[in-house]
Amino acid sequence: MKSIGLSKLRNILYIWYREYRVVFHDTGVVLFFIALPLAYPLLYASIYNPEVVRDSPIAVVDNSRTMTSRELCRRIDAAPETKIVSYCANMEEAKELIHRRICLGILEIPHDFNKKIMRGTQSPVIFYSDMSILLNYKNYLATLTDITLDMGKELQSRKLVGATREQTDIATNPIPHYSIVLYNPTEGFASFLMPALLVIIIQQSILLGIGLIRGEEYERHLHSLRGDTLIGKSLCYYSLYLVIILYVLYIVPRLFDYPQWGNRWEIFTFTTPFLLSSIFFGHTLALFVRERESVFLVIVFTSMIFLFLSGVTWPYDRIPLVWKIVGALIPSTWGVEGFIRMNTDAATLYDVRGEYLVLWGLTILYFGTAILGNKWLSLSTQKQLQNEAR
Amino acid sequence: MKSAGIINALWNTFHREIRRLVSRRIYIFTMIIVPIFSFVFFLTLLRDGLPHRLSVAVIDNDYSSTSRELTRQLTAYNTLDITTRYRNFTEARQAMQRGEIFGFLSIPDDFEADLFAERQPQIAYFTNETYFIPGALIYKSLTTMTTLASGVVVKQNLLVQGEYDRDITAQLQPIPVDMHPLGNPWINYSIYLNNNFLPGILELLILLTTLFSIGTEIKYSTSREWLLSAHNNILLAIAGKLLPQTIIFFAMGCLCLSLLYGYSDFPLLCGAWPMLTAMLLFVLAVQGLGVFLFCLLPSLRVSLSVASLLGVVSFSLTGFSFPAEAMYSTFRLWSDILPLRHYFLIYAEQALNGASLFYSRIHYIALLIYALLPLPFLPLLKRALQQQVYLP
Repeated sequence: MKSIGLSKLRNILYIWYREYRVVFHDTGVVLFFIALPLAYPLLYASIYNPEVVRDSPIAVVDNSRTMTSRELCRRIDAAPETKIVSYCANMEEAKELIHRRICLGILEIPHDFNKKIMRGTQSPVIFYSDMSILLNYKNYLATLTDITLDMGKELQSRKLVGATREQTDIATNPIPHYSIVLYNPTEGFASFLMPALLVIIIQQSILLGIGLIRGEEYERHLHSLRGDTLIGKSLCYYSLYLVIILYVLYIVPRLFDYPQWGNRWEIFTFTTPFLLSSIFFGHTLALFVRERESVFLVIVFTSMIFLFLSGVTWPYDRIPLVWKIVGALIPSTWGVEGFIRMNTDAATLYDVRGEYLVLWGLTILYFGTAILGNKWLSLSTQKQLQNEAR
Repeated sequence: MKSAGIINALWNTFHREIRRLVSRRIYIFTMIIVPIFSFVFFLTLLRDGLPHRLSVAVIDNDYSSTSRELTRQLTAYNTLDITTRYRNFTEARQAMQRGEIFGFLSIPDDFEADLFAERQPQIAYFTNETYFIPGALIYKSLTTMTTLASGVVVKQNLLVQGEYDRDITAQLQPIPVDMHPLGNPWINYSIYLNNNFLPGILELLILLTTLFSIGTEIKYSTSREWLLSAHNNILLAIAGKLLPQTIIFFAMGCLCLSLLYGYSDFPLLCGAWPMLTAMLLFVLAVQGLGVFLFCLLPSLRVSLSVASLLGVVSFSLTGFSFPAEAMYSTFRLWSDILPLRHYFLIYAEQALNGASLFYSRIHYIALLIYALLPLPFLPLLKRALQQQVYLP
């Protein structure tokens, strides 16, 4: 009894050791396992490195041409988020600029703008915003709201003749408020998207690499995958990814100064079931890869789907139930959620225990599907071969 | 070659390719199942358009009638859902770290008393910008709400001082902004994202399928036979081979357009033809890019790797999420040479803004150039097909 256990163990160790040779002798696998997680984070990080959008272009059609209207324009131009690129004589000219995409927003100041303010009635300005890029719209909306409210307060305080500064302040703003943006204080795009992308990149590189190895083995009719083989292979991949995780989840965020508040040992602990479940998930998906190169066709497009299922771009509670269930079966959904909470929101491992446990559950689930699926696959191919032999 | 010979050669390759496409499940998977799945996935995922009922919490340390009134006003917002109340900051912060709420509002002790005594009690709100869309929406609602609450107090004071109701609004907000989000007044994220995501998925799939179908000819040593079926004319060989794929992918493109502008009723200010033309040119352009890549890198794995990189990075570089204008100039340049970018600009000007075709002429031409790009490089491809060397 004991000797069987020992021989199993020896088997596992031997397969573990042999798998390193499989990995490093295949340029394709090296590319997926090493080059991809090395290069993609840097590429994405540099694309999004400017973090925030400055100077969204605006064209102004100032029909009022008064001191107040010019003051308004000056302040809009001075705001960091917006920039006035042109003063147009009429709307037609401004529209032309939008169609040429020289500006993406038009501010129209009506001819009676100043008159209305003097008269003491509301004096609206009109803004047209292109909606093809939402970050520009966000800039326009925030800046215009802030500036018009500020100017409004100043106009209001002019009426309070003889009041002290504090009195004016209290009269115009009885309930002051302040907002604190937590965890991503600059509201940067990279700080928001990159942590999720990093986790997805790790998972996809695992899926692609394993798919390629298994596809190759299928082509060579080496598709039987017993428990000890699976464990041995997975130990090899897991040991490789320990190093990669260190680079992707620790060094890259450090290099690009992303929020990094979590305890790094707890994060490493969290990644264990994430890596294992991704590896076994990879072995399960690889059942559908019958050829080395078809791994590209089967796996690559899923990156976008997994990114959306993780709930980072679209709030998780607003995802329809069907997709929530599908998402719950993907390791990255829980991996992204847990990593962001720990890394960016400074949650402890205890706070993300739900995600942690689910990932262990997925590990067990996909270990089972990988074994059973491969058994079924080898049976069905055997039958096929027998049929052909007849 | 006589015209009859040309037609014969084209027909041979065309027929041969159709047989190849139906003989393997992987083609049906990538050309039909995946596109339809992705269309359905993204359209149903984002069907809400604008997220509403996002969880926020209130820490009410005052619990007076005024502070409760403030909380009640918050529940009136469609975007917010006050799910819980916490006793202190720490509890609320922990709930945020557990991911239960996206933001919270804190009302200080003696809020009501301070307000009536004109001591300016401060309201603080905390939003979690780790989640971009909910963070922005909650920030906007909370700012509006607190500004309005301030306004209510000012209004009371002014009424007491004997001002007329109609003058008060003008004093509270002398310069309102009349915002017109062109083409998408509902700020619907589904309109915004799907118009770019669905063609993006198509681009990725077309690139991969084109390369895979050409590359496997070399892998399984059938490329010489393929050339022979087109009477050794590389132009006819490639045209006959890609035409069935063009037809299928264009059909998928039409399905995508009809789902977007017909079924979902997204804004289409230009009418059907400009977008249909753009879609056809887009499919051809991406196929052209695929053939071009294979001419330069006639190895199945290398070209598929490059194509995957291009296809996936397109989503970021096209600049509909993070604008290309804000990227470093290297990436801006890179963005300009992606077919998806030109399709995106055609969509933005034609369907969304309803500009005249004149303004999109360059992008239509760019797509056309992509479709013709591989022509000068075809001899390279012919040599690779004749050598028939497969590198794993």
